[in-house]
Amino acid sequence: MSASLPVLSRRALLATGAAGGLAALTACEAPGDGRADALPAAEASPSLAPDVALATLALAEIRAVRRAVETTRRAFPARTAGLRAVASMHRSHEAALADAVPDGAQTALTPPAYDVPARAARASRRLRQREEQLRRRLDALALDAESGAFASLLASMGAGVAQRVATWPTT
Amino acid sequence: MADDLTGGADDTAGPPTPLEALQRALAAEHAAVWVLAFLGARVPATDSSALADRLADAFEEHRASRDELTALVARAGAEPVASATDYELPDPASSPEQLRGAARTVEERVARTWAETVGATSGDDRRRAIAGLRASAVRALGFGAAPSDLPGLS
Repeated sequence: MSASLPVLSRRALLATGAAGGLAALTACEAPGDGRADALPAAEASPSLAPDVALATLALAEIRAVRRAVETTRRAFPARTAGLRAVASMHRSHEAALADAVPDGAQTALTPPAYDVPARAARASRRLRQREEQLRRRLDALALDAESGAFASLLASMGAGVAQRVATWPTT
Repeated sequence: MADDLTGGADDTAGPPTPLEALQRALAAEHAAVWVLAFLGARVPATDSSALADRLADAFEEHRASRDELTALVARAGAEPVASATDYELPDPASSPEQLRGAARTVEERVARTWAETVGATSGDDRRRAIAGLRASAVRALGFGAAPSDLPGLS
């Protein structure tokens, strides 16, 4: 499936760049509006074209959640086989965004450490909450995108996450 | 000639205007309402699965979306597109699996239309399109669709 994924180029996103505020985007974030954790990428890219900045933010958020999935899988390998497909989806989304994000911004994206709860059931619930937060975040970024194609891509990613949440594997 | 399950968006033209995109979404919802009603009426009485309930729920949600879009387009000063007089129906559509497959096709096509609408709109209209895309993607799961990395696009 990855082979058929659309891949965004930075050139395409820069071509859509116009006025718009990464600063406003990052300043308005508040807990519960879809943003799971503050990521350094948001502050590291104030001069990027708006949609490139959105791609950078989206990539950071997806990467952070994917790492949370993988950390949880390592903690409970026998009970989280169903999360393999979730991690695979995140990797596909990262691949679709990677070319749109400047190398310098990518290197700044170090997700905060993810603490896995001690009990598998709670770990699964917490991870599902993170996925739901990511879905809301992708929807919010889609709303802000200037390029229609990029907005569709982000919204589709959010819908893909929603499908995974709706079919969340039991532990 | 019967329209297809989505109401037949014209893919040969350029990018749609926001209003055109909303009209296409409305046409898709008209088609979904019509086809899901047809499918719901064909669920065998002996079927003990949740299919009848799922079809009924999907019908209600698409009808609500259709009505919302109709009002939205009218508020924009345009004439909302009407339901087609005829739709190309799935054939055969008698076994529960065939009915599920047809409903899945409806949801996946509506999701594609909403994904296009996301790209053609902004603000509240785009917010509505994002929600429509997500709703169809999740409903498709109930009819046996496998999760997709990019619903509406792949």
